[in-house]
Amino acid sequence: MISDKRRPGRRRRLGTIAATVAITGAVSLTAAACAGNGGTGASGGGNTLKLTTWVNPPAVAVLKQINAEFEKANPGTSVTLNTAANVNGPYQTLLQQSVNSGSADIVTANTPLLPLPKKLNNTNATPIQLWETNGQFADLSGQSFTKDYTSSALSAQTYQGKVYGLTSGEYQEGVFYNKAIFSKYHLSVPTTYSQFLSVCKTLKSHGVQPLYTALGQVGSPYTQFLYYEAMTDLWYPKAPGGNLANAIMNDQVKWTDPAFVKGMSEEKQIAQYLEPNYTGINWQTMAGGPFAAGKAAMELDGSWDLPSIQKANPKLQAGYFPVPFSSSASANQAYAQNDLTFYVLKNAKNKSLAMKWLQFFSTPKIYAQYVNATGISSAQKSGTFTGYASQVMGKWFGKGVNQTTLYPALSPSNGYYDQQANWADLQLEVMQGKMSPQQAAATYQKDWKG
Amino acid sequence: MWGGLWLAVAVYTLFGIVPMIGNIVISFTDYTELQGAAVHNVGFTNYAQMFSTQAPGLEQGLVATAVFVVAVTLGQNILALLFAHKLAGSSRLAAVGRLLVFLPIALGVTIVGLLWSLIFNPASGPMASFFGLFGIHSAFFGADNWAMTLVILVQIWMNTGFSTLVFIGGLRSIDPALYEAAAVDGVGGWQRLRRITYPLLAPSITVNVMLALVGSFTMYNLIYVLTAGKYGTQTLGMLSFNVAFGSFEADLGYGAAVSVLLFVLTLVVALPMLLALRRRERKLLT
Amino acid sequence: MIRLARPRLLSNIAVGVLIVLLFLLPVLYVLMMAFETPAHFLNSPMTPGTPTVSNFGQAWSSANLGGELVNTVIFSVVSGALSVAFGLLIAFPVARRLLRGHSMIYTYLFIGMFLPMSIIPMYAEARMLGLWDNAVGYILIHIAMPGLPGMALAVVLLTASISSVPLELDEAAWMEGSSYLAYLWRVIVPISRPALLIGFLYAMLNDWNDIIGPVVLLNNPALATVTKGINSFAGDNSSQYTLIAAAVVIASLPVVILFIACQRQINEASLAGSLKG
Repeated sequence: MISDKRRPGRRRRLGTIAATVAITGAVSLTAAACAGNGGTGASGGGNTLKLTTWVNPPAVAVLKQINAEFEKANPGTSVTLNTAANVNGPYQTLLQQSVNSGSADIVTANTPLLPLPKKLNNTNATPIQLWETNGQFADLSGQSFTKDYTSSALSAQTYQGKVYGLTSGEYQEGVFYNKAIFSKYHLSVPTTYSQFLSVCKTLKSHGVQPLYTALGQVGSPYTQFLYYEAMTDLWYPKAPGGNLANAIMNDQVKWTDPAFVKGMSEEKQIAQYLEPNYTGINWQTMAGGPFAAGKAAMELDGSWDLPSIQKANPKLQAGYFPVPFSSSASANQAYAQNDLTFYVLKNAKNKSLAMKWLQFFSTPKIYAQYVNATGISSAQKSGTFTGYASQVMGKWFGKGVNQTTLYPALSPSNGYYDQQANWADLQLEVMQGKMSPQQAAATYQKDWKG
Repeated sequence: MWGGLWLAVAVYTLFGIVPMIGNIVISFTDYTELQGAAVHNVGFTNYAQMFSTQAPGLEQGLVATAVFVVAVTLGQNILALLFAHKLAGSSRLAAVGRLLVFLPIALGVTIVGLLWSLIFNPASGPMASFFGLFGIHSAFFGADNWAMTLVILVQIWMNTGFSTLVFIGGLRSIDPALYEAAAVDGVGGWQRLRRITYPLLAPSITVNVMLALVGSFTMYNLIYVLTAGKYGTQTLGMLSFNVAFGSFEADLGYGAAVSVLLFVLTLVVALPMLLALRRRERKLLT
Repeated sequence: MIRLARPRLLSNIAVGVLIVLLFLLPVLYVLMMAFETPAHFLNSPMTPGTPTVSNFGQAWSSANLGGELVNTVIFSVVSGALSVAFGLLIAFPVARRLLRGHSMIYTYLFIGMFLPMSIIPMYAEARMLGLWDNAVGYILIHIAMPGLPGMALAVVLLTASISSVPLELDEAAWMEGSSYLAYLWRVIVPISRPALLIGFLYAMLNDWNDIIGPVVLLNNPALATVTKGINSFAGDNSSQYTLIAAAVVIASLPVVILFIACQRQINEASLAGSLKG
């Protein structure tokens, strides 16, 4: 054995470590027990409203303001906001956990309810569809504030005549462009596919980065900035009944539809003008990136990033147009999706306070404050909105083909995350030239279960 | 007197074994976590789905897991042996070296993930500039041909310190008298390494190989923070996480089935490996 | 000091350079970032500018890193220590073959090394037992959670280590009339220190690096760990690299200090190195 004379000292040190660990343990257990009691005491009380949402800095910031104003208007109440990142799972987990344990009063999501699968069951439904169809959420249809909202916003969350969610508004996707750069090179806003390509070409010839986007961390799903628009412009106009989502779900059309195969080959052309290595640049850094800094002429993004872009560069003069995939200007529509939707848990501890909060949220002043701060367009019947997003979006503000009629709400059995046949992955393969549009369409159709 | 033993076994059963059994049960159902919702026995559907032509991620997952496990187990242990050999001494410099190689695992996986994402940021990171000098431009963690290699390297980087510590323990337990005797007999260098160090280090090698093997088989947290399984880095551990949590379309039964498969695979690979290492230990030590 | 032969010296220098390149440089780079102004970093990300500490103030005030660090340290240290303590309570009777079925118990524990993450049933179980969303439950669960094989490893290492302790020591203790636990504490623990410390470090670091536990098993923001906090913080401030770097430095500083303070213990853990099987 090594040096016996050091033994006593070592033993003493060991004793110290053990004692420290034991004390830390004891203290923390006691502290935790107290915290635990305090925690349950507070949540059992009738005046703390618990709200759960994901990290989207502008929305979180304005919700905090609204909560403070709500607390001021209702003395004795408090609102806590629990958040988690919305990239790759943390929020989805927090949401599941909050709904299942009833640990929140109001939860939020932006996954669509509609269209529902033909034969709804545990494996083909998304969690939101499961919760809504299983009565996990409180019915809002009798509440007075629902009168303020458009019928399409309400019907998006209606199941068997009951409204289970309050849609806060719509976000839009497409191209944000730098007006100063466009005027410097005498470019006008493109309305057709060929005009768009020639704008990109001109910018590139002047050494300006034409188009910017970032897929790092999130990977392929945000190729949707292109493929949703391709579907909107080329495929959607031909859909039976004006509802492409239903047509796809019911196998009335196939993923191999020539209109969309054409769209994919255009995606590949457009992708040439993206910055190099766009798959490695963190998606979350996009808003504060080169576009905001004036180093890229256009950015493929969603309107939710507009407030962050404005924050990163308040002087930026930005405009918007939908990615034009069609050669006919009138077919080139914007894509829109219902944004953050509030759900009150059926077994919420503070249901009446939750309803009171939604009522407060829906009042014109507060609602306008929310819309103006977040980059969405309104879901209410009236009101004027003058936020940064409305200025940037111009005539497109609030106008677009909504996801509910464009794209199915994909569930696990549709192979959404399926590596061999993941729709978004296939789009990226096409954009990177690893697969032809025809191959991609055939591969996906083969595994499609509807 | 055995109260402590049974208490410990009970804790282990309750928090270690019961959840795993739960996983096996869930893998045969369409469980949703939804309170009050019916859970159906779906038999082997989840497993059949895994092995069907649709095979969400399985084929790629198997390949990625094999590459990851082999590369990490070898790389981590070779590097750790080298470091342990140089850092086992009692000099201050060796102590600083030990501190440095152990630092990554102490920083924690989230910080390690952020750190390397910043360093390999394709737009402004130092590695982009470095490789740019050679005309190499890549999306790094966002490139199919780089991501896996980088994830393997970061995993090795993060865990080498722990293996080094175990190896240093093994090296120090070797009686210096053996080396002195060897020196007297005129045995040096390579022979000494082969005849004394290598056999006597066998127990540490067993521990380290097993830890690296099992750790890389079941690991998902580092891959999660670096690439979330994108760009060819979706090992089975990552796949089972992604299926259950990674998107808004959670499929818990399928995720459980993947993790049961992972468990079986780990056992099938690690147990014979362990027996072989133990046999070798016995042979070398006697 | 012994004069080193030339090739040996060269190889020492080579390994030294390797360690500096691999382990020191990345850390220094992030440290540099943390002291940069955002504007300077954006324009020249590779060279240091005039150092500023404003990132630290901003990171500290906009995130709850302090509280989260305390939570993380308590959770991982306590559950790591309990893993090893329970491991010892199993390892001793097993190593001494004091009861029938000792090898079955060993195998049973050994399987724990191979269990993959089973977080969904873990969550359901935690809810049922009232261990969800509270610190005590979180710690209890982490003693033996599947995928974090601290306790299993402790049993394996300790069984090996105790087997090499001469039986005479046990007998002497019985003669003295020493109680079982007192004997474990006074004799076995000091002798098995290396195995105990390696086991503890392993268990503790596993808990420290758990990213899914804090999200699934906890809900109360006051109990959040630093893994969750840093992740949210990075999402909140995604393009502000210098701010993230500052948060990273703040979050890792206590660990580094702790590690330097325990350097001697960790060093000694490997002194006797009785990891014999």
